[in-house]
Amino acid sequence: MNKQALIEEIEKQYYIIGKPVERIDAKPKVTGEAIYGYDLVFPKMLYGKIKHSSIPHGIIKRIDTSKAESLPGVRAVITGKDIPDHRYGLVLFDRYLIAKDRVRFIGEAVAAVAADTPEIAEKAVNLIEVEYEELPAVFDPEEAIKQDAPILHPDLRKYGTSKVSAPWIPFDMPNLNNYRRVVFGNVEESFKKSDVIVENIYETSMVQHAHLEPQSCVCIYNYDDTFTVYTSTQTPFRLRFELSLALNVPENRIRVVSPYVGGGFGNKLTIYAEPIACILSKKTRRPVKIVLTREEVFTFTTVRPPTRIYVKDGASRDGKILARQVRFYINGGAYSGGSGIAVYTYLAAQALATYKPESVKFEAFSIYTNLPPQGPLRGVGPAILDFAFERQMDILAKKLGLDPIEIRLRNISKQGEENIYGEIVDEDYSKVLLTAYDALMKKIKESNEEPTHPWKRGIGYALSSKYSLAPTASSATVKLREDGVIEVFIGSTEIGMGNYTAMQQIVAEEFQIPMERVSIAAAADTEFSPFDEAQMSSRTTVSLGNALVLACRKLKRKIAEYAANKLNEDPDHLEVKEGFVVSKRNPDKKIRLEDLFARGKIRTGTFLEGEGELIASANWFIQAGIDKETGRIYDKYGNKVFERVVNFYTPTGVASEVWVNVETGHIKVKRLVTVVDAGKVINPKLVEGQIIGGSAMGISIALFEGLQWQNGYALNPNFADYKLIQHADLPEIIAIATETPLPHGPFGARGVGEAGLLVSDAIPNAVSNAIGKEVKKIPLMPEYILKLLAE
Amino acid sequence: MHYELKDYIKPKTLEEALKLLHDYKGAAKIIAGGTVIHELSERNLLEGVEYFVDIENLGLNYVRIEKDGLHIGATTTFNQIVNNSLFTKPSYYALYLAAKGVSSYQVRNVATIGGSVCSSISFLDVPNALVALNAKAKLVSLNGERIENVENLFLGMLNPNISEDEILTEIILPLEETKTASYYMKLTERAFDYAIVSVGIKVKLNENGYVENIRTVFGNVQPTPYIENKVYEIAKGKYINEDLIKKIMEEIPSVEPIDSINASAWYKKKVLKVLFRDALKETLEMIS
Repeated sequence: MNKQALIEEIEKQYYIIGKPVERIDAKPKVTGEAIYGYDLVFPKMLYGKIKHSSIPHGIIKRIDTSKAESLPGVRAVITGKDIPDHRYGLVLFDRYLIAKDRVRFIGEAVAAVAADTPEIAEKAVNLIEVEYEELPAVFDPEEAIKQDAPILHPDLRKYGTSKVSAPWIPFDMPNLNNYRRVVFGNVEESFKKSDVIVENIYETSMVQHAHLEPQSCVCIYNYDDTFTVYTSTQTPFRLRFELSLALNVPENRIRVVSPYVGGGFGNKLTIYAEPIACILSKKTRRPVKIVLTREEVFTFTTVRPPTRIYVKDGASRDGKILARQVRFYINGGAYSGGSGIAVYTYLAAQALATYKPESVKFEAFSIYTNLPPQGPLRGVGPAILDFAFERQMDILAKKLGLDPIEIRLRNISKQGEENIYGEIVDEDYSKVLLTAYDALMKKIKESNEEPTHPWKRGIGYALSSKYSLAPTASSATVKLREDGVIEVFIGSTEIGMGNYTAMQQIVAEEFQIPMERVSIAAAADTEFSPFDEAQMSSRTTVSLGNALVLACRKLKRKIAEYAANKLNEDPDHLEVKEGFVVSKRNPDKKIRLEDLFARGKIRTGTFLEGEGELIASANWFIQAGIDKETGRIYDKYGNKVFERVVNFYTPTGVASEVWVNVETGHIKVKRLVTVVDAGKVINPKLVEGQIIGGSAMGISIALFEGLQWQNGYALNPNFADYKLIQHADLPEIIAIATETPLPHGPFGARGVGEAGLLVSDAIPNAVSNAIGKEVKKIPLMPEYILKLLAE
Repeated sequence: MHYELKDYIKPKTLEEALKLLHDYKGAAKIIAGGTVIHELSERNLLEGVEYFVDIENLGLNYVRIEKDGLHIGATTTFNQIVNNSLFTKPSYYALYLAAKGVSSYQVRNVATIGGSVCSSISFLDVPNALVALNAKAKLVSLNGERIENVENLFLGMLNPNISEDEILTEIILPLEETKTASYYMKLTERAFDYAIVSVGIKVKLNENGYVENIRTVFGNVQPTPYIENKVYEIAKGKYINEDLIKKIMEEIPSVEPIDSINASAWYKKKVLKVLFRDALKETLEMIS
């Protein structure tokens, strides 16, 4: 059987999985009918505006709000005095929703206003006078850990922490707020055995998510002392948790609703304006809307933190890495926020899964500085660390006279064996790399284009895997509606990647019914939706997909049991498919799903006699963790403490061709192949979209992006000076999905949302290949390239 | 929004417009294409402005050849320049390239040649090209009119040498010349972007192919368009060959460039030489 026939044979197993179904949100989004947080308007609504700190570090001496208060149209002005004495955070509770006595970065909220119009609110904010006593500030993580550095949080040790995942600060180091290590083997011994040692320092820039929709919320204080919060978030449940901390209100008094979300990329995982709007609403007894400006998105929300990575590798002559020693300094910003500091330190270490050196010593330091707090950006850490690791691979290969593909293949974690953490590898790393290599070579052969002076060609690869975090949980509820449609309740938001469509496909598959016979409520609502951790970490397809499969199977069983009486058949012999309950032994014995419902005498509606509802809920949860000391699933005595460190990995291979202008330093990405192992493709159009989107973002980060600061002031917090890639700069991106099934994924699927970002680590290799100099920082600004060439 | 408008006025005649500017003094601001309004507003440069005086209907949208030169009405848009074959002639080609290189199409549909001068932004291309082409501008007020070389109208970033009651009514370019060509080149980070640096050149050779005149302008090297006289000093009366180009490249720029967020003076100096060389070669190719 040839390959195509085999694929068709496999496809036949599925009713709708693997088919390029049109996105269910395509039409409302294209026509503008889809409702986002940004669009919401309520009767008597006021507009809120935040006053931000104008200095990077200091004590608030005095705030005078009198002029603002007397401005006509202003309904409320609040400062740190009006908020509860409760700090919030995800794992480390280190921040007030409005600064009380001290500001730690420019952009931090110091006051807020609610007014009749946005213009009045803005005017009022400018009338608020704040007097500061400036404190010395620190902006570089390695400066911040020096003994004489200014301390941002003198009371750090007194702060509350999450009971499930507290930060780890095992030694005294100024401004250190979290630490993580991975220790495997003995690097000292391995270095001694090594034939070559390659040691370098790498740097990455501060990157903004640049989601289209800025953070937008409307918060309503209700007559029964509860809050309803409509907001643009990736995680309604976590948001509710953080709001309850910040407002000091129990979670059951807060309802979070999230309509369509205009992109997030990790920047909508924590609270920003929501608690402020809540307090303004409580004070005015009117709905309060706050929409951040783009400048606020740049300076007041989270960023992918700038990092410095020290890597020392020792390898044998034949290219086997014997020792890898890493010190990872994370410029953590002023607060851990809801998702920052802790997450980076904990999770960044998972970037070590791809290769298996003989020994590893990895240390991550998360450090407070007077800059905006860090947050995830299309992943936490891997694409950053892989920049350093993938550069090291090429430099090692060059030193040893090896092919860059070959050296990678010699070091990958092999299927069936343990990876660095002790997890059993089910990923096929060589497949994604070789597929990318083959596709690029074919593409180059097909074209006759040759660079002429001053352009030089370079080829570069990157191989890694995007992990998805765990422990993690998703719940889902499915219900049979009286018209036979399966109604789906999920707590996941649609932030643009098409997850609602994929989830609908999974339900359609389970019931073998067309897409239009499945209905998903297009808003996650903590009041009605089952729990879902968050729309993040490429986790939805696997976690929520699994929960949905389980819920569907439960519901099918319930339906079969309910229909058994009517059909006079044993439920074990009934199956629910194609809109019917049908006997497996006698296909004539069947009933349409809607005919299970009886109609009342006066024809008011239909009901399920005796049952009320045919509804089923299920939860999917995966446990995971590490031994703190080793960073592995084994402790130092070799006892297995956990089965897994993460939920799963998504192997990704990238092959890129760039042309570099050696006179100006400009880089053109000519051809790009991104191969992501999707496990099992649920919807090829969606997967392709995610790979291309991730790749474009990857090129943008490699070539252009960097939020720049001078003494704590942002220099380019706008889209004119903060450079995002444009369509005309994009090459044709060849997106390929390979399918190595994930044993615990729904239909074998893995998540693919973030993996494409690895492209940012292939481009630097290609550029180094073109110019014969080793690049060690991104973005690859033309000026940096010329400086390297001038060396 | 850092301004509160009382009215948006669209006068029908130049006199009417001038009177409005005179009566309202600083409270009135001229609006043509409107593409710089946001920038001015964000920089708090529209504070106190209460009226926009839209000059679209003043009949200032024209391109005509007269005895003393080529007259371009102030509200002529970039796309009207790009689509007028007159500007693809070698003498005016720099202006064509500068206008065409401004992104996006929608901006070119509304941005005007007069506005580009009055906004006084050194990294914008059209003003740089105009200076390279020896353009003059006609400014009118109730007190009369004056004609100025365009380069004299820039005091600094967003700070034009134009008073509040004056309207720039037209740009005047020299008549088409023989053995003459012009070119404009900019270096950008991305496909559609402001220039890191830019070069505008106009070259006139004599009958024997020797340099009669060269005018070179660098954009984003100083806060206003920078006329690089060094080029003419070195090249006048000479035949341009590779050696001469190399010599010029060694000598330029004659001023230390300003640092920008994404490019230092060091980098600007390096790439200006390359950009100049390429632009000069393109210019010469058009003459031969």
